Order: sequence, then C-alpha cells, then structure tokens
Amino acid sequence: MSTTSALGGVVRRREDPALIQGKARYVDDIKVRGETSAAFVRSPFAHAKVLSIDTSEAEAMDGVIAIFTASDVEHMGPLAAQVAIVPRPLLNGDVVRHVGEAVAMVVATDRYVAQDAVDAIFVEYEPLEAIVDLKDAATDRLLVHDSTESNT
Amino acid sequence: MEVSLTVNGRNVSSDVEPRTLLVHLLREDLDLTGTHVGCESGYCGACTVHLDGKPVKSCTMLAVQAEGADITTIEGLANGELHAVQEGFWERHGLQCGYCTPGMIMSAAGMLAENDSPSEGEIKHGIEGNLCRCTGYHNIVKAIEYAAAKMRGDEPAEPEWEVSS
Ligand code: FES
Ligand code: FES
Repeated sequence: MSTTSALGGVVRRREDPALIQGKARYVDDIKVRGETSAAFVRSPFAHAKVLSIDTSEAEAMDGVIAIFTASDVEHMGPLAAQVAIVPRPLLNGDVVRHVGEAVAMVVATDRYVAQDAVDAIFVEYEPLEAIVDLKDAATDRLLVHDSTESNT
Repeated sequence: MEVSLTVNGRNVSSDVEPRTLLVHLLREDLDLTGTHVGCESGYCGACTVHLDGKPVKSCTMLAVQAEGADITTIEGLANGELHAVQEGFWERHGLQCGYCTPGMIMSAAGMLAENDSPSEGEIKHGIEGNLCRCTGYHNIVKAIEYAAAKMRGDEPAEPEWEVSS
C-alpha cells in the first residue's frame, strides 16, 4: 500500500506521472527559436596524426553555418571536465588518441544537414601504432601522451 | 514528400524529406517529445512506439514507411488515464530518470497485448530490446508483472519491500 509518509512506507514519486506519460521535459525536448544543430567529425583511428582537414566542400553546403577545427577553438583551452592529468583539447588537430576523438565540429540549420556536412569533410590521417591491451600499455613501451613519463 | 498517417487517433500529414526518421517526425514535426532518442541506431529502444499495434523502434524506420499506418506513442497509450503498465511502473518503482521509460512501457504494453500471463523469462525477453541505465531491470520486471495481473483482473503481488508487521 502506498502512503504519503516518508517513514515506514512506500512513497510514490511525485515526478512519475509526467515521466510515465511522456509529459516530462528533457533538454532535447526544448525548442528554441533559431535553434541550430552541431555534429562532429570523429577519428576512425585509435592513434593517428592528423595531417590535413579539408572543409571546403562542407562549407559550401546549403544550411551549413560554421565549421570549427582545432585552431578555431584553441584559445578556449582544454575540455572543462578533466578526468586525467593530460589536458584534452576541445577539438584535436594534432594527434588523436582514441577512436571517436573529435577533430571538427559543424553547426548547421538542422541535424540532417549537419550530418551531411560531416560526411563531406575530408581528414587525412597518418595512422600510428595503437596500444589496445592494458598490460602492454603498462610496459610504457609506447606513451599515449608524450608529455607524461608513464601510461600508468 | 507528403506522408499521411494516424497518430494517437488523429489524422496527420506532414511534408518530410524522404530520409526523415519516424522518430523525428513524431518529436519535431508533431511535438510528441514523449518518444525519446537514446542511440539513434536501434539498440536502446527509447524510441519505441506502436505501429498498427506492434512495438517498433521509430529510429529505425523512415517516416514515409509509416504512410497510412496507425501509430500510438506514449502520449496516446491511455489518453489521459493510466494504462496498467504505466500504473505498474509508478507503483513498483520501475523508473528513475524516466528516459527509457516511454520505450519500456510501449514494449511492455505490446507484449501484454499478446500475452497477459508472461513468465518472468518472457517478460525479460519482451524487453530485451530496451536498455535502462539507471533503474536496473528488477523493478521494471516487477512493474510489468503488476500490469499483467491488473490486466487479467487479478490482484497484483505485494511489493517485495512491504514488510509485514
Ligand atoms: S533511439 Fe531508437 S533504438 Fe535507441
Ligand atoms: S529510468 Fe533512467 S534510463 Fe531507465
């Protein structure tokens, strides 16, 4: 049996009626006038040097508002949420260190256009050796970050 | 492209790009934001709706594929009342943040419409296409068992946390 007391009984949550009927409001549900969408170009390599990024075709696409690469955002510093001692850039234009690391960001009038533009950005990489094994990483035979002394 | 379908009992038409996903038609054109997007790739089930009574993941369908179809979203499942599954989730703490919940409820309602006496294993199987990152599945299964009992006209089992004195 449900009760309204917080002690000794089951309390039905007051937020649940909205959540179970699809009436809750999450950030993605909020529409803002003139809203734009961002999409990211991400590394397909676990470890690679970024040699060049060609955004010209994407820039010319209808609905594309802006394209950012590392040099455009460098002045903003590294990612604010730091989990490691090594600063992580907002966008990486140098050496990517995991699959999915962002190298460019597109802002467009809608998400489909943004995604199309991502597909029209050409990044040239020089793949580097990747360490995919914890034990191997612990030997430090290859440093993930040159600025550190050890991977551990 | 023009697409016409029925959504929650209402006839709607919308002009969409041929590649528009059904979930985006629902959320963006029709403002039915109760249907969520978790992965956009068919894994999480947050986008589950009913198409002609059967649960489908609306991120894996094009809006134009729903031409002429009858779609029910979480908003239209019980039209202001609570469906037994919705009640079950509330009563048995089947949710925390609620993000996966509309999809879970639509999958569960679809399953119970076919079988109102599922075993625990059948319930788990029925929601295996839905991922929840916070509640854990235990209470979700209990919530669906509660709903099944209600739909059969039985008294739902006492909650596990009810301590008899
Ligand atoms: S958003 Fe459709 S399955 Fe995840
Ligand atoms: S209740 Fe939060 S993801 Fe399921």
